[in-house]
Amino acid sequence: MASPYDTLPPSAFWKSAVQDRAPLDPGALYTPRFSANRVQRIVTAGSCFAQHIGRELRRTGFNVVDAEPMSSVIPDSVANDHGYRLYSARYGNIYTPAQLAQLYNEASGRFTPAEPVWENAGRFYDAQRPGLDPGGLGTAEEVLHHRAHHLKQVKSAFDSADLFVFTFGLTEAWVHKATGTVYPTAPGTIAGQFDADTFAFKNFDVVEVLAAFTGFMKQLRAINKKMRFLVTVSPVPLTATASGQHVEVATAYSKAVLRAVCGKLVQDYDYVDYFPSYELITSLNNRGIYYEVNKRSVSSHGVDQAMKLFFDAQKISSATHVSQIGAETDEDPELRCEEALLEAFAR
Amino acid sequence: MTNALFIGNSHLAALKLGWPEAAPQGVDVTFFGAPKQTWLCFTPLPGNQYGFGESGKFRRHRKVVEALNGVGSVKLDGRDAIVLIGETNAHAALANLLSICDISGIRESGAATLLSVELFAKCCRALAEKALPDAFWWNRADLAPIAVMPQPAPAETIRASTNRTYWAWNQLAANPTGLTTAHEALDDALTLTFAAKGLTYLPQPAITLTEAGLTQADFLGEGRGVPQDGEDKRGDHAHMNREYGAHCAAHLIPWLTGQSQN
Repeated sequence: MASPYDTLPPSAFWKSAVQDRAPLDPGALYTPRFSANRVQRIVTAGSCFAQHIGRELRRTGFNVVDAEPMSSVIPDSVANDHGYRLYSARYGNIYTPAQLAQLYNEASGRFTPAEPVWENAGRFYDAQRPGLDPGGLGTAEEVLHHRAHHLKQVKSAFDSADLFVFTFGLTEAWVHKATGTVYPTAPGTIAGQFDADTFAFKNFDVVEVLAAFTGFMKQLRAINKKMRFLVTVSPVPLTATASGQHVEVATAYSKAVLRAVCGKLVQDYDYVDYFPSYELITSLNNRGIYYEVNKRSVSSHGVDQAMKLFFDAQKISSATHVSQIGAETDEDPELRCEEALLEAFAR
Repeated sequence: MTNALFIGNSHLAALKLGWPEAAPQGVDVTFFGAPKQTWLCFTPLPGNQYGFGESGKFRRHRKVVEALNGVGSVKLDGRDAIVLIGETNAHAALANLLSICDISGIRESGAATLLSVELFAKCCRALAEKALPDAFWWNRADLAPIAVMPQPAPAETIRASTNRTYWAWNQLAANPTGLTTAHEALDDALTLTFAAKGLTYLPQPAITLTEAGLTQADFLGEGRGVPQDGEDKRGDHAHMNREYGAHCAAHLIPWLTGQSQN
């Protein structure tokens, strides 16, 4: 009997698929489970690598939802500092599925976070996105007012989208011991006070991560039955770990858990696809060239290659796409200004 | 005698028409104007001249300037005051911003985005930075004191226009709550930002504005607005009349006379 490996394609063998592959050739890493197109309403969220994905999808003309848009007259330097133009709503980085599930539950009225407002030097911060208002707001009430608005926009965006692109980033988080409320940063880092009796470090395991994301998907699909999910794992290593392990070891644990969860999601749900940006960026075939000198941040070249892999697999042009919406322009009234001058200067 | 230079694009026309109604004794004004596209091609020339030189470049634009002003360039030296008119248009950018963004506690109309007061202040500063005239005009202690008057807001006749240029203004005009406060905040930011570059910002006279920040229809130039013969001709809602110019002149004179006393 012939070996079951005899009939497998070259991509199944390390030698032909990796060892003999030209350096930087991404190979056929990705076969889409379902197609993406420019008509679908796409929501993006996740760790910082997800910002690159969202930006590239927008640049190439995908219909990425922006539920809290910022006018184009405001420069990126101001908008981005305040969380605009990064994701489909102004939630900032969502590092863990527990935080994502919590956000949607809060937006749906099923959850109220503990200690929602943090204070620092007389200024007040949203504990769920403390970095998005540099300098904070004037009162706790103002923070809650903005949060209520934000949650309404989140609910609207999530409930009306067709495709949810989520980048899994971390397993580590800080939680409120009594209620389990998850925070994106440790209390005391940007605002708030760290109190060991109130807050605790949490390193989610594979069962917990899977349960959180599965729960989120089911809650969302109960409202939005057409929603599909494209999941990725961020190739960006941890910047710091509170696990007590070496940061490289902690990174390997975190990525392994997240990658395993993605595998299980694809295995169990036909409305979930996995995009291997993690594999592309970290591939030995690339010899680390897709990382910046800090060996952590993904370079723009790496992002370009990841998105090229996605667009090529989806058979979509990655050229910058100029939206036809609003492309028709009216005459600039300023172009007719000679007449006004002639009238005045002729006198 | 105060020797002033008023220089700018087509919005200089209204001031030129209205100036005689308000002009005080002892102020001698030189008007030097060009249509927007020509104004944008003006360059500094040797001897502190400004406009177009004798070279072949911009020949067509130079002809336009000569037809209007008799000369292709104007001398900046020897002035007691210089006023730049019509280029700055930050309030249109603000209209664009507020057409999709509310401001907490100032304007909450149900827009998708809610700006904090703090962020709105940063946005105003960013718009003011963008609205600065060319760096050639910054901190020119060697020239006369320089003031800047903005392009007027479009006339409220845009309410009947389908021109997408005015989409944001039209959105806002339907619910003007808080707009006066917002426009005043931008004027404050413009004043501070321009002052840091040695420039005096003179906002559009408040008496000419509606609650939504548009210019009152009475000040639109004669024959402009939405034309009678159809919406396909989108009309001119940007260029104002003699009365508007007279208000600008009255607004300008205290600053102008202040310079001659210094």
